[in-house]
Amino acid sequence: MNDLITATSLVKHFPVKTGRFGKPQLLKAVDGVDLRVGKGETLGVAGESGCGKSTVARLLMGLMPPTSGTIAYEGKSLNLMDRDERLRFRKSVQMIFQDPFSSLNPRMRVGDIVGEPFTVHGLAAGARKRELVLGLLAKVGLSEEHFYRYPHEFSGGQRQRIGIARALAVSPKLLIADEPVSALDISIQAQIINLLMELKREHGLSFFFITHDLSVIRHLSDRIAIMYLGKVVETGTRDEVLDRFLHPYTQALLSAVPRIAPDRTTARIVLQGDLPSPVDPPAGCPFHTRCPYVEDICRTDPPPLEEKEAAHLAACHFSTKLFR
Amino acid sequence: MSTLLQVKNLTVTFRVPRGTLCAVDSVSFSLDREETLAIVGESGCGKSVTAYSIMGLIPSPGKIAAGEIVFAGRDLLKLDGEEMRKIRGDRIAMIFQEPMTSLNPVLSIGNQIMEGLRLHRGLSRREAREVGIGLLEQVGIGSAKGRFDEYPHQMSGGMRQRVMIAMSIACNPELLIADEPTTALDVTIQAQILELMDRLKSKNRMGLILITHDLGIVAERSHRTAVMYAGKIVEYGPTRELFHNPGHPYTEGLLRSLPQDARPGQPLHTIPGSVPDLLVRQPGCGFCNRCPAKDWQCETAEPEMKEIDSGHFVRCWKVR
Repeated sequence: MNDLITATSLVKHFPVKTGRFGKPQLLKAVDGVDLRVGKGETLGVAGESGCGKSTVARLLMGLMPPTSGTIAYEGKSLNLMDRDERLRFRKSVQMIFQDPFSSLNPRMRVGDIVGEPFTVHGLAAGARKRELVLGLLAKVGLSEEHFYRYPHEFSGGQRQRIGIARALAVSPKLLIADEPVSALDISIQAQIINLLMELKREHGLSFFFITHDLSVIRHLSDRIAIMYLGKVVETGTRDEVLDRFLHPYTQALLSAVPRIAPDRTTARIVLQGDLPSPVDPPAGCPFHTRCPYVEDICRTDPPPLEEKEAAHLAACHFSTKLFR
Repeated sequence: MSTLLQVKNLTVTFRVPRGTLCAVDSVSFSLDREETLAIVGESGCGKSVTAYSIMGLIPSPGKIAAGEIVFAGRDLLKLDGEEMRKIRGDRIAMIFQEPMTSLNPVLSIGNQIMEGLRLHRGLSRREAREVGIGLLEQVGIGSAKGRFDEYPHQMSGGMRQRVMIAMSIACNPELLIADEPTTALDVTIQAQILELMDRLKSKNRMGLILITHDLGIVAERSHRTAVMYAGKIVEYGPTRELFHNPGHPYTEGLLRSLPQDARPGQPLHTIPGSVPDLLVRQPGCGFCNRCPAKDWQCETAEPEMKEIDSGHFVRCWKVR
């Protein structure tokens, strides 16, 4: 097995109160998710806001415990790790955030931001640390003159580079990137995507890459998982999921993307309505309230995520009938 | 088709402690009824400031230094505050970028929709309520009667954006300006909103200015496109023509840097560098520090707009 990190039947429920005197209810942010990221692999995770993709990222980071289910890193469950193993895990998994404006401390100099992980993990200090930080800055396309500057002096793209340098400081194996290019302008977005691909090649990094932009996902991913309302509805290799999809939600997502080349041959599917509330998800298939192909069984029986074709899983009763 | 709006040599400056910044520099374009004009460009290129100028909403250190904004035969810049207030929200309306912050959190959405109707159309509360509920239904909000008295925080992002649209079309405006109307929304909701705006456009014979950085939306929804860079329009023309045959190196660079048509895993085309500081005025073309084709002429003199095809204008020395 070449899996770096695996999540099995991952569940995360948050108690929420509805109204002032409302009974506490459960918001089912992640509701039974199985995922794996292989060594040197990029798993692209797509879905609309509220589908649970960011919660999965925080669970994988070990930032909060799952309600149930397990996460295993290099085959070892997070719960069973001793102190040293846990520290090693923390170093191996790093995160790049979406908003380059709020994820950097405005009162720290760039050199200190990027150097902080060395101090935290006791890896280097003094001149040695400075040297390492300069190396990291060079790697992400910044230079020595940026060392003593503050975050506000940088543009969005440069700040994202600083965040990436900080994440790389402890030589991680897995980078969890939560919408790292969504806040950037197109020309800058391309620069950051290229940088991430270069780092992946150079260091054999794995990526857990969250984005709602399917063209970015297509460009970067080896495998893709599509999430809807706390569940993975389809997963497989990039080309399988995007070109030979087996779930109506994937089809709708793809058809909703505005395209430059007006070569659209199929009609656009405009989904009606909003994402249902994760506090009170629909019975049966979570997608049935918006699915254009809904039938009776979908309203009562939740479809399991099954292997429909080799290495291509989907959770739909009618995958084969609809798409093959 | 008749011309609805004509913007001529619009120049907007902002006085800031470090000097005077020219956010919009001699921008000219026109818009017909039932036409969609897309304005694209990176953050800080002046697209939103252009929109705010048409609305007469330039915030304080900013000033319209020159130009004309002719709407239905009248220059909006010559109107006094009272006359402008009568037009704003009635004949010209705007959908703002952030549905989360543009609605008043302490007023029910019904109250906010009724405000324009009562002010501009002089409707009574009861009449305004009826029209308002009809508007919510029109923009696709289910059980509109019940939701009319809800507050913004009770709604999702897509709902709020639809409420914003309902507010803006309440008085059947002749011109609608949509500033990144779908940026905060998911793609499936975005598709709903864009379809809705197209429907309303033909129903009300409305002109639409669509400000966005999503070139896919531009290609699919607009008739003409203006590409802005550092306060200036650098390319302007029929959308299809502009996408098939971009004349300005910036437009070409933008189109090539999209991951959409690139081979997966291959490095994307990038435009090196970043936008110039608008406070540091340089002679020559604003794009020349990032341009792959620049020469001495580009660094010394500012190029004029040239018509390279019928209705297709490019601001670049290299085109002929």
